This record gives sequence, C-alpha cells and structure tokens, in this order.
Amino acid sequence: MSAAPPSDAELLAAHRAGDADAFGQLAERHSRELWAIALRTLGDPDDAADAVQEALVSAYRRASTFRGDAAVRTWLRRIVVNACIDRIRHERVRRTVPWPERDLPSRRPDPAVELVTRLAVGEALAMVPVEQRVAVVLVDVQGYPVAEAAAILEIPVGTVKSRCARGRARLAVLLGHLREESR
Amino acid sequence: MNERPSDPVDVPALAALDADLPDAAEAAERRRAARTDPRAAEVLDALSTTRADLAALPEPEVPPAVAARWAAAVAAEHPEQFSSRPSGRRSRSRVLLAVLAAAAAVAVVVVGAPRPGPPVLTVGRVDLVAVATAAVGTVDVGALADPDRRQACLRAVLPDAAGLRLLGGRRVVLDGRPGVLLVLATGTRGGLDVVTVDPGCGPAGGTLLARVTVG
Repeated sequence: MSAAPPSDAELLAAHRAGDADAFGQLAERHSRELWAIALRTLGDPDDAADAVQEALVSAYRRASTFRGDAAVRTWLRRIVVNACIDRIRHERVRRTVPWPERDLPSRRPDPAVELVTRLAVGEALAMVPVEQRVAVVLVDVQGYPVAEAAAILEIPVGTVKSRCARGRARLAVLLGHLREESR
Repeated sequence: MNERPSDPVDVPALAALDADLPDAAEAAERRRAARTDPRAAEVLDALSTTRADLAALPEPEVPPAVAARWAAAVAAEHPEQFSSRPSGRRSRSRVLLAVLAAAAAVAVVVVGAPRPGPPVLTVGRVDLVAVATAAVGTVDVGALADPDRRQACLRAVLPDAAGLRLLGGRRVVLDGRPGVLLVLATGTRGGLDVVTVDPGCGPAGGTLLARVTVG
C-alpha cells in the first residue's frame, strides 16, 4: 500500500511552506523535459545547461509568485522558454543563428547536391527565427498540443499555428524537402 | 492541364493550411484546390515530412555533469547552505541529487572484496570530476558522515572548504591511497569543490589528498 506521489502543485505548495525536499522532487520530475526544450531551442549544450539552471533557480525563487492560473508544469516550461529566448535576444549564445535570406540553399537541380546540402534537423532549427523556432520545438519536437504551447508562450492559439506554419515552411527548405523556388 | 508553372505556388497559404489555420470551410476549399495541383501536393508533402523529421528527434539525455551542476545551483539557493547542521535535517535537494546521481554513468574500476555497502572506487586524478559528479547524492563517506567530524577535518586540512554544504561523497582509492572524496557546494551557481581526504581525517587532523574545483 503506497501513497500516490504528490502532484506538482502539492510539491510547489510544500516548497513554499518550507519543505526542504519538495523543490528538488519537482525539478527532478521535469528536468529531462526542460533540458530537451532548452537544447532544441538553443542548439548548444552549454547554453542549454545554463538556461535550465537559470530557470530552476528562478523558479525556486519565484515560487511564491505562482498563482495557479496555469499548471505548474506549464509554468516551469514557460520559465525555461523565456530563459532561452532571453539568451538568444541578448546574444548570450555560443553561436550565431542568423541565416540571411540570400544564404538559403539556392536552386539545385542535381538531387545529389541537394541531398548533400541537407542540414541536420538540429542545425536547421537553429537557423529559424527564434519565435518560430520555439513554437516548432514545443509543438512538433516536444509534441505538446497547440493550446499548451499557447499557454507556455502566453499568446493566442492562432499565433502559435501561424509561427509553426512559417517555421515549418522555412525548415522544409533548409532540410531539402522543398525547393526554394517554391517559397 | 490548367497548371501555370510560371506562377509560384503559394507556400505560405499551404503552410497555413497544413497548420490548421483556416476555418473548416476555407480549409476544405483549399484542400480541394490543392488536390488538383501537383505542386501544391508536393509542398504539403514536404511540410508533412518536415513535421515527421522534427517529431523523430530523439529525446536527449541530461548529461550527468549538467545534472550535478543544476543540483549544486539549487542547493546553493538554500538559506542554510553553508551552515554546519545536525544530520537530522538533510539536504533540501536530497531526492533530486539521489536521482541525478543514479542517472550518472561514470567509468570507474571497482576493487575490494565483495561486501555489503558500496564498493570502494579506484580513481585517478583525471577522474575526480567525473567521479564527483556520480557521487552527488551518495553519502558513503565513513566516519566523515558525522557533520562535526567532517567540519573538523576540513578545518584542519582545508579551512576555506569548512562549512561548505555536502552534496555527496564516496570512499575511493586515489593514487593507491585510501581516501574519502567529498563533493561540496561552493555556493556559486553550479560550483563544486571536490575534496579528497584520508579516511581518518577528523578533529586530530588529516591529509588532503586532492582538491579540484568546478564551475
């Protein structure tokens, strides 16, 4: 007869009440997922590690501000996503991601050449504008419902769909699935 | 054939369709139109393949060293992190640390006769950080599990490490000498102080075998 594990909300409440172990349990429960989000968004493992660390510390400190209008899980994801976006916008990332339009793969009639120029998915993601990239990471890579992505990003569902649409179109070219002249 | 190859296919509109942006009636109309245009079908296929590529990305494992850094950072948030407290109240991140340590995979040579309890690890100096990472959450430090003894030991051999929060530790053999590796949180985010002392280290003094700081 074992007790059910505490919910995320119960753990956060316990942390706020001074439970010494509660935040550790909460962080452990979500660390793998938060790592995946950060790594896919930032591309660089060191940047991702920094971003998640920042986010965990921030969540630890801001636990008292959590109002319960979203799931704790959503709140944690949001803090990580914001940490990633902040790093990109403030150029605190280890590699630059801009991909000027003129540098997009040009018309390549030779399929072999086209194949060679295909980019790894992770590399291609890094070349997509950050807002589109985050939406694609959440919906297509992480597999979250669009509504959850919208809650994480605090934007309308339609905006998430629009960002995904533009991001996928760009990625389709970068990955060699779509010729640039089609764009 | 009413295709007009000179007209560029409207990729943004097709991507919007693929993303379920238009309302149902408009989407149905666009899909009907797309079915008659091979180039539109090609674009929709490309978008579908792209989504499949993204969904197929494997979930990355958290590297043990990264997990240890996070644990140390969270531990450093504890208001009593640098106090030498009785062992009755354990680390606030004890559970996290234990799980992270369980996930850590470090190549070490296990020696010593089989007996109850964790085996002693034979390590080289270059292994210290990796071993320390794996030791986070494990407390197999012999007599140094007693906080008073540990603090007395550290005060004797490495005063600036005395009072640092213990994140874990293992009995080891380092360069052929038995020792106890202690993983201490420095108080800076992600910072670790990895200190190896002799097993008899205590109020009467001891020997510092190695020290490595991380972060």
